Amino acid sequence: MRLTSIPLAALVLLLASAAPLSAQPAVLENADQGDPDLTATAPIAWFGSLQQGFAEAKRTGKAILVFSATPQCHNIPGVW
Amino acid sequence: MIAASRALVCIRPATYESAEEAKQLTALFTGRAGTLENTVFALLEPDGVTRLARTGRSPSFDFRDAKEFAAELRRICARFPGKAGVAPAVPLYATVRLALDVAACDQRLLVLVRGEDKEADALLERLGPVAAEEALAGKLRFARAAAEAELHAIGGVPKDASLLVVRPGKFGLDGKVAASAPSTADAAALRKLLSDAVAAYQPGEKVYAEHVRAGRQAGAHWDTAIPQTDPNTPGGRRPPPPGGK
Repeated sequence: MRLTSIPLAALVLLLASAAPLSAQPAVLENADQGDPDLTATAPIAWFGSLQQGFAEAKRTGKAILVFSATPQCHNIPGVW
Repeated sequence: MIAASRALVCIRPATYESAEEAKQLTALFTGRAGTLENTVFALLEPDGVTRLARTGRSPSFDFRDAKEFAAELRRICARFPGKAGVAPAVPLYATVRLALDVAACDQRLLVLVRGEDKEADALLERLGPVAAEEALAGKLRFARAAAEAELHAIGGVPKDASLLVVRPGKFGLDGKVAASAPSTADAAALRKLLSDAVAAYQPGEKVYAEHVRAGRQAGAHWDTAIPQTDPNTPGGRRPPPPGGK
């Protein structure tokens, strides 16, 4: 199984702590780090709930990445 | 090409929007204050319990840099390649309200499946593999509208449609139907409908500070389901001082 095309560009942006922490998931997509392994731009199909995501992992036998975030900032919605 | 969302089950729960999820997230990680913080990161085995890395506020709690993180993800995905022949489920948000907000945050269209009957179940089953296709994976957000009341903030809802493609408003507090399909739509029809909708959707650029400022001016407001307890953010609840109040 080859995983070089995992949108690491996206996941790797999790590491970027320069952005407001609450805003990190907003930069999970469409990033470009210059590394071929890190430049895939396929967006992530996020499961929105732990319950369904955990059930899906058991059903499919896949490992789980959890990254919670707040879909509001200073109680203003529409922004991470 | 293998997308992350296929190699791993990626879950992005909305912090402070469910008391039950808050318990689960708190079990994974709390900061120095012992409270749930805005973000929680974890890598877990498919059992949802066994940890594959140190949990924390972000991957930087356990990985020095991007390459180290990438290498670990590859190892994990090689170890848990997933079962063959299992059709992917539609990745859903728990409520229409939350999904609409998230769709606005991500600047993605929201797909709603109406109802809780067997027809809606069957529609979701057909939708799962289509939504996971390379051209569409991650480009849409999904929720199930169990009750018609959940659609109150959405305009232009056709009476008989079972699947709605909704363009979220700027602040995710409302939306408008951009396309729809009946419960009988097959995979090919769903693929075309969603592909056309994604291609036509061109949201403008979102600038964080401008968005927050505009939201304040517009009176856009979001109440979280449970109190925000991150001591690192303005408005977050700080822990009581030593010795109590």
